[in-house]
Amino acid sequence: MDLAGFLIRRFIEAIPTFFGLLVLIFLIARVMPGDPIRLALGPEATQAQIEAFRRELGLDLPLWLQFATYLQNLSRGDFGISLRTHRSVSEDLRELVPATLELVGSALLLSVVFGLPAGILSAIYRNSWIDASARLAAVSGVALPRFWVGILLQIFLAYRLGLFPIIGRSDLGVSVSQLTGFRTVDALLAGNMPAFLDAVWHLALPAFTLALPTIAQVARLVRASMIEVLGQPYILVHRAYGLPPRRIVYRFALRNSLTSTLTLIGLSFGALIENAFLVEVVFSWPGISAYGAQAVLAKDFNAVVAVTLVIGLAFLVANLIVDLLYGLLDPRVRYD
Amino acid sequence: MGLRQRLVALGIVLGIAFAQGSFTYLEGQEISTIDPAKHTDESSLHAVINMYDPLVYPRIREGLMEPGPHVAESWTSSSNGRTFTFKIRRGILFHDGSELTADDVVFSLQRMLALKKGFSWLWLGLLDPGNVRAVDRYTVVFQLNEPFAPFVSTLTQLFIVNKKLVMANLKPGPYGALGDYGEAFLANAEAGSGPYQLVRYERSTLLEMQRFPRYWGGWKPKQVERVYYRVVKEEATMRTLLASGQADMIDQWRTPQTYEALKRTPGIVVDEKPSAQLFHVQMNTQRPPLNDVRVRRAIALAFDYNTALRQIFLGAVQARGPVPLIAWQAYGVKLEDLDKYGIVAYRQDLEAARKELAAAGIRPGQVTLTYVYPEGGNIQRQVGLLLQSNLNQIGVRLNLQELPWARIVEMAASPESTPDMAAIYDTLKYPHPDSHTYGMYHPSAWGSYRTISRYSSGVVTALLERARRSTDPKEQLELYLRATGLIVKDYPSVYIANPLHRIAFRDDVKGYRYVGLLGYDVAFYDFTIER
Repeated sequence: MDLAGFLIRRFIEAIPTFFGLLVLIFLIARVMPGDPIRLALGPEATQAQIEAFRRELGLDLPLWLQFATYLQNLSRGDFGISLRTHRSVSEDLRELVPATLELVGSALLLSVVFGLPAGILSAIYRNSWIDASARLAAVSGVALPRFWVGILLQIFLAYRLGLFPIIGRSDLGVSVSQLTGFRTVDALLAGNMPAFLDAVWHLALPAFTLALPTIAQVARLVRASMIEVLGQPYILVHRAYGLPPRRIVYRFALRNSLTSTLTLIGLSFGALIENAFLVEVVFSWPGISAYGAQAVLAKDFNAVVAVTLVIGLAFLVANLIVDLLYGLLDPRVRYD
Repeated sequence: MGLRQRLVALGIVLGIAFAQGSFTYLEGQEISTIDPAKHTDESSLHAVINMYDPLVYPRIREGLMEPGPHVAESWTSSSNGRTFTFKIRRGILFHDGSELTADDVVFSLQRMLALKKGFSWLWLGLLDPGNVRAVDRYTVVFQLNEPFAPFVSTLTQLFIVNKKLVMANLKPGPYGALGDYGEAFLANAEAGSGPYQLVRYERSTLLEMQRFPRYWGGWKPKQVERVYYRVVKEEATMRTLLASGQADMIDQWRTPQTYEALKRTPGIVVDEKPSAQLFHVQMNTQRPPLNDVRVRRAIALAFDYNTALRQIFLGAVQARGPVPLIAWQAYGVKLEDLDKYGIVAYRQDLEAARKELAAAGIRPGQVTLTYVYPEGGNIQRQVGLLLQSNLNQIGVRLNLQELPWARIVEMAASPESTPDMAAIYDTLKYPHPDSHTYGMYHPSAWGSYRTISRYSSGVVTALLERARRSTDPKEQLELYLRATGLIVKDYPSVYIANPLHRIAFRDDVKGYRYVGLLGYDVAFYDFTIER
């Protein structure tokens, strides 16, 4: 089967998964304890107000009818009204999703940029001081709580040394027309280099904070699989042929040890979106994760459903991309 | 001068130019809406207060919370207390340059009544949309369905929107010819006449406003010209920003410990005043054994108020009944007057508490009660622990239950699920004792977290209804005082504290004034920066 066929099959397979997720979260969001109407209208709301709002949101209808209406609206890309922001959830998401994706994307990039070399060096210089310090850093990276690291970075690098901004996505004086919602991309599209650097500068600390545990995991995993691969007979054969060590490592060993790392990175994508919550809170990053948490607390059911669907979708897409990349790395993989 | 020094110098010059007249305020809660018909929480109120003008404005510059002239220059009321006539000030301009007229006032109120959100509960049922009329360009008449004593006070929440601008931006919606009544438009834009104009609104992080040069109140040097209202959810980050000078003021919702620490930080001022807030533990008067006033009195007598005020609230005024003290003081009521009506602070007396229980026929160990408090509510939890140990001394067991706020709100809605006891903060919403009496102890208000005590007394209900109908301010106040005195004697709550209102800002910020009303202390127009 070719690539196109594979993609179509995966897409069809994803539909029931997605629908199941939708049904489940739709029900959970509606039976969660709490009275969303009273919560949204405030303690003094009159009975007339409460009933009017309930009708407006369609909560007076039977559950199956609510679901049918929801599906109908969803097919038009309408997630309903948020109880907290009093406007359409789709509009909220349009602002928030790019911010989170930009943060998570940068964090993934950092995980590879820092994690991969650390793991390779650790494996090559096994049991040396390089290995020891990389492993220590990796253990700390996994063990230290993100929000705490974030606050420390904020206090030392941003406040004491003034190297980075304390919060936000860009300087208050900087403004670039928003096309994609990704500040870096928008700045590049506008050809505005200072704005691009400003956006990167603002991304640095939150992305690094978010990436830290993933960097550590990547480093440890690369180290382990590299050590395993380096001990394989075919590596020995290459050595015996007198191939330069650099070529052996990068051409043969690394490539073969990357498949498991790729799985890790793919799964991290979804996890990073969820874990972005604390980072978004600490760095006042206007993202979907903090929005979702607030929505749960306020029992803002339309927002809860929408956020869950978006994160679920991100998981599905990330897994699909990983599957495709396997094929690139390992020619033995066939799409059938 | 090398390139590097030049760049640094340029940076400094730009930094100063940028900082001139600009003000950064940090708030922990998102600005959920900027629509003046929908705001309910403090951050939304801040947005609305700074971009719109209310019909009347609390007399903050005189240190009072009573309503004074603003958009309305003056007003009169009829002898039956049902007709109010307001004269609108001439020459108030909306941000698009058109003049604010009586038509806009009528439109703004009718819009609130139609949308039924935000503060519309103040007038729903009291005012029919057709009974708000513009008599001429500068006169509005309100015809109430029944007399309502705090009416003028409630108009501090009537913010005037630009009718023409809203009508030009209608979208299809459920209100017939009025479409969506501008709901979509005012969700992201403003149509006000207030001192500041909207520049940017990114609801989860930033509200940027700049001064409206033709504001009818005029401008003086050193006033705030540009506002960055930033949402920062992490307390440590807020402190860092304030200490570094990247913020000028932080909100009032931090823990007492944070303000204590900020007091010791150079360059930062912490303003502390008794708040118009009540912290109390409500007792469900409908369910045994708390339906017996002797049991409720026993619990109130067992609580250790001094420890709570000194060690949990780190300084607070002890509550005397439901109405926050400064709300009485705003109406010229002195502490001696409160004594006369029996509006006194509860005190601890374990011996008396045991006697009350015995009189109610309750043996030690026989009763177990449940105390609910909102998730993350540190103060509420500590008060619960203190109460638990106090009640233990008189042989009553107390279970503490930490619940999501949404769940508490839901529980309060029906008599079956209303808990035995609940720790609640209750903030004054309009400048009048009515808010903490009628709003909490008239049976019509049952069903919200303000009325978990589900208190009902024929005499008190009658007094409160008479008070609302009364047109003579002296008689009216007297009725509210009498009703409150009776409520205090019935122990529907353990009234604990009017906590301190604390807010922290840089020492070059002048003009901050808190009078007790939610939101009105953060009107940036009142501030000057002495840099």
